[in-house]
Amino acid sequence: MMTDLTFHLIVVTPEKIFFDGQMRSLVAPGGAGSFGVLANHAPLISTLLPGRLVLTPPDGKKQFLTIGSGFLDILNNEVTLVTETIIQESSSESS
Amino acid sequence: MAETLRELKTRIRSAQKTQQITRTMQMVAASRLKKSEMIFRQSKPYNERMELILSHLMESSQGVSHPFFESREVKTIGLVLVTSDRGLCGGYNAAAIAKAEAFLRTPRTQAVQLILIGKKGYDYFKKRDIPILLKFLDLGGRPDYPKISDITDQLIEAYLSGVLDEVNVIYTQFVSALSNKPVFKKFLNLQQKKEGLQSDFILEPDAEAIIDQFLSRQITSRMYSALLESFTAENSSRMVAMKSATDSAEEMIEHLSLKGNKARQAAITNEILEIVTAGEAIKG
Repeated sequence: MMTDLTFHLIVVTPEKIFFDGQMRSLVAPGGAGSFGVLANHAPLISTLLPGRLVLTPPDGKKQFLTIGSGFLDILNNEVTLVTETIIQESSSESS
Repeated sequence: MAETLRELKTRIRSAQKTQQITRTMQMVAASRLKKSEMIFRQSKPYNERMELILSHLMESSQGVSHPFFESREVKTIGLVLVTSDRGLCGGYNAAAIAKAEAFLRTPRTQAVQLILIGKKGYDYFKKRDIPILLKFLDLGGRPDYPKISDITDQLIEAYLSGVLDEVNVIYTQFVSALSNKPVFKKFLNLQQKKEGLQSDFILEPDAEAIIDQFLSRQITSRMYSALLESFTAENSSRMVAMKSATDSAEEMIEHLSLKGNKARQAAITNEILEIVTAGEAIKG
């Protein structure tokens, strides 16, 4: 397993940069179904539906964000997630 | 002597009261400026990222048609003018309105419809015979995203339904705390790349769906950014205007105090002179 591979994730809303840092994986509610992103993902642009975003930072502690609709862009390990609202943030190690 | 001592004192007092008000307004504007500048700066990354995604999208969606990409004969131009809702902000509104006037005076065959954001622009144009398509007078210097989203939705609808064939915006750029400048920008001018680099982005669910959803967000983001910048400029303009009002009140108070001192001195001299003359007369 090459779990130490990370990509750079930036999550922005119109109000501020919500997150900017390294991430091991993320699972996002895409317009064509939920999908996962790991390092070295192919270039992608996807719409995002309102839903739950699961982030796994390098320390392995999963984080959950509830986001509004938005977009996700991947190019060369640079992942940009733009959304108009991040409704709520919760952190949990279970599930 | 033009003014009596009492009149001068009244004038000094009124100047002091004015100064107190303008100084307070200056301080309020300064703190609002700080806040709105911060919000403006924080909104920049979102706007930049949206532009980035747009460029990726443009590279990989060649051949996809969308009403925004179609070039059509321009019959009606929409002009969005961003002004403030409240006054006392120096030349801020005047400069933006002058920019709009310059645009309106230019002879052209197309009709122009106004979309006014801000009470001051509406007050200026409501009695003119230029059709006002939409007006938004309730932002109050506090741009909030849902409201702006609503504004752009209405603009996009006007564009798609053919009411407007081109949309331009006049808003004020915030150059620094001391200088602003009104700018004119084409708004719905999305150019699709016809040739050149074709990137192989995976598009989910598909190009049409993304473009359809993305473009309106992109335009909202641009509008949001333009409005935030305008509001920041408004606050800085108000702060500068109030600073100069406070300064000239200070100058006036100094000037009047000097006059008052002279008048008092003259009165004393006069009195002494009278006593001395009277004394001389008795002696003589």
